[in-house]
Amino acid sequence: MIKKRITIAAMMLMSTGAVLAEQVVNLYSQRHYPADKEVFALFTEKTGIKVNVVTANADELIKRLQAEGEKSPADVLLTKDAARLSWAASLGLYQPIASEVLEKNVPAHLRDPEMKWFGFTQRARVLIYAKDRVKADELKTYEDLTKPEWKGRIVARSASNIYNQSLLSAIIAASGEKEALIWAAKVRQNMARKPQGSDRDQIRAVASGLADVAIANSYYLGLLIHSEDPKDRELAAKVKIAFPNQEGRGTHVNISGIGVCKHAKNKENAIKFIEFLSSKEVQDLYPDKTYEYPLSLKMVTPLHKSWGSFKPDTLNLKALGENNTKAVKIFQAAQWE
Amino acid sequence: MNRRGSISKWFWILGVGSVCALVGIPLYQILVEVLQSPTDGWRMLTEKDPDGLIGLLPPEMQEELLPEHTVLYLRIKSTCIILFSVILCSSLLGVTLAWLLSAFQLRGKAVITFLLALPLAIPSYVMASCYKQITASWELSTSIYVREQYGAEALTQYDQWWNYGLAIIVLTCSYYPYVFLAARSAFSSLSPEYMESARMLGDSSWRILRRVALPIARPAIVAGIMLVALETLNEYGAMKIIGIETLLTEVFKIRAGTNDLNTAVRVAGCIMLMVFVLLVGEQFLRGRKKFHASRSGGVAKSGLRLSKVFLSGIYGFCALTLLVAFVLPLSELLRLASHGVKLADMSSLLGPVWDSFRLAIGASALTLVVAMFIAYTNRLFPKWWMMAMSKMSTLGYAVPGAILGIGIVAWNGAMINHSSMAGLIQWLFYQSTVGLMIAYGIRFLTVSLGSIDAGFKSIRVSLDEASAVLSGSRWQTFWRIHLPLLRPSIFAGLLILFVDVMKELPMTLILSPFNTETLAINAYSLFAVQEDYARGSLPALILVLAGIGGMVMVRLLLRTPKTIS
Repeated sequence: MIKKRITIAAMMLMSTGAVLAEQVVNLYSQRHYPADKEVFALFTEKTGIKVNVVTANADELIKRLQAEGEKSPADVLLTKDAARLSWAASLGLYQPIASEVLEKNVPAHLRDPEMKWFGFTQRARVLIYAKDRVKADELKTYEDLTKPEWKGRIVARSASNIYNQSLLSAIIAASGEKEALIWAAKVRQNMARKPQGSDRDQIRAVASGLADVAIANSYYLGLLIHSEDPKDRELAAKVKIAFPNQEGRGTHVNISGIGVCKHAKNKENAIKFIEFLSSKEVQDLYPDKTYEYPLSLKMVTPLHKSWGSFKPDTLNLKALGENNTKAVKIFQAAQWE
Repeated sequence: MNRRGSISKWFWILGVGSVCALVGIPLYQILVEVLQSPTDGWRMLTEKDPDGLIGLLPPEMQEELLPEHTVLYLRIKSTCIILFSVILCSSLLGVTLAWLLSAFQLRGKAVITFLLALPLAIPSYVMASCYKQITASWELSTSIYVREQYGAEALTQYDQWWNYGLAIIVLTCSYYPYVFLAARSAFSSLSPEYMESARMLGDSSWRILRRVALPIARPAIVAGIMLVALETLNEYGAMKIIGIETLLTEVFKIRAGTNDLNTAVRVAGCIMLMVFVLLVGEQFLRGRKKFHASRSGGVAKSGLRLSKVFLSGIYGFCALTLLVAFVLPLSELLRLASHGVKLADMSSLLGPVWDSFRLAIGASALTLVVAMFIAYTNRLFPKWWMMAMSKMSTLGYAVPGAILGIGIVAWNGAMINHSSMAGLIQWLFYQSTVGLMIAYGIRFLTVSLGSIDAGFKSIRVSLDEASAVLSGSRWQTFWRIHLPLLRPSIFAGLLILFVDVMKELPMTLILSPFNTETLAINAYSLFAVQEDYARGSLPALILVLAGIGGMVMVRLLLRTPKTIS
């Protein structure tokens, strides 16, 4: 009875997507960027393969893939952080693929050693400081932030943020657990206020004079500089960007990345899609639209040129996934909320 | 009871039972998870130094870092502060407004009622973003002042109180309409005779409110307050934007860091426990009292006449509420949109507008029918087990949407892999959006059930008996007596449902089929994920306008006069 009612209601209300024998690639994506839609449309135009998308948070998508198992319709899983990629791989949700194109286009540290996932854009976790109150040579490393002269002058977002977790994972990889804990505790003690808000809020706090330096992702500054809102552009004019650890291991970078799902039904299309993301065409497009860095770190836009080139940390990003739980625990012990 | 009667009895009971089962399935999946032994994440919440990390440090740092309380304690504390403040503020505001509009002679009551419900159309995370934008520069400059005058310690305190204050204001603005609408519909179905008799006995309007109106309106008001409580407990977006750690933000933090669904579900269990305490507490306080109010026409004409000063005071109060809860955030959205709107973006929003509308309309209609069914069965069989069953059917609301969504996903996964129902599930959840609508129904049933149940309760049982004596069938009684009397409740229920579904986010995210994108997803991704407020303001604005449009539609639909013969 109820089933029948549901069916009737459904027939009346629904416009079900017709299942045609067309070429598709089914994508589970954590990224909600409008630029992605342009890229997908471009892919369809080039190959005739339609891109079907579900967007949600990475944890939910991973859970959904796990629950769906063999019957999952997803061909590729895309996330905007390496820890999630590495984690999905460890849960057996990806399959290794062979692709010379990807081996060539994606630098070794930005892909899984077993070829299960691949980065397609990069973002640097940088320090953004007040032009008028900080000199560039005062901020050489992430570790400088622990010095007593920064007391009450730092702002950062909360520990629940994956970009902070990944930064700390990279520090664990570089200096070990104990040093990472000391780093987190001292940076926390130097903060002007409790961690809160977004990267954009941190930059705003620096621009307004509440703090002198913020930990933030590079593209947020790009978003502010190119914002339609004049208030945002005013903020951006008051700050500068610093790439830490240039004389040592390099600035921490993270990726948006993608891999072929274990039970992909359209594996060929999926590989084509990932290769397309690594192609020059797409690599040139993203920096202009999302202010992220291309895989090559080539400075293609005036914005990125104005920031100058930098040396990235070439730690294989798989480590971010491996150290993630540890990082979360260290943040808690450091009372970085 | 004769045979026919007993068959029909089973029809009603089995109907309600199957709704319970539908709600129970995802909850069962969640329960299975809780029954596993606790994991790492749970230790992190309940121990002060779970992995002995602090022991690694030099002694002087150890002293500084060893926390006074466990994380769980702190999160429960902040959750309670927010919960009770928001309940208090929104009940005071909602009931006061409803009473002012019901007890006194005012012009334009219907319009004012409608306007005061409008904040419902603004999702709380949009409200929070707007207020954050509006107050940001003010907050920063006062923070700097506090630091200069009183030092860094004071700033920490100030910052904390600021955030709590902002969160309470934002959530009160977002949720007071639940109480307001419930109280308004209950007060307006109060028979003027009650008020007249009380007045003739020399009661002041304050005493009438306390002694007569409040006790009768109580079930409806409490249902409204419960919605506020549940929404507040399940608030994630606004808390995150404003920067307050609650139990729920902790759920997400743990999941993000440790893939620890078990702990997330346990924390969600704590939230449900709080809900349970509230529910039982309310039942206990209410005791066995029962009030019925008969409604007769002419309520609109009733009410005390007021002096001009007092009258303008009431108008002023309503206007101020509207300004803070609706006009200010909306104008911030408009300001943002005036910078960010591009024609290209407009056309790309057509899809989301369509998706949002059909989902909201389909899901609200479905849910309302089910709610009416349950409320009616409740009236037919006013027994404790029926009460229990109808309470159970509303449990979907007590679980955070994201967790409920995961419960449904887990169930779907099991079904498509190992059962004969694979085809049905595939169709429901992958090839159509019907599954998503059912999921909304599971989550939002209580939203409409509360108001309809309260509506039924305020209809005297003697009316049914009278109808039966006049040999009216049940169907006739329902159609010709209950339905007309229930109209205000249906209005309130449908209105809240429609906007709630429009705004819903976590379940839409995890359960939607390919290429379904609602306005809420669109606005959320631009607002909260990309922090591109200028561009995000457009879908947010459309979401708000669509919500308002939906509210207007419901309003007009229910206004068409039906004769009560």
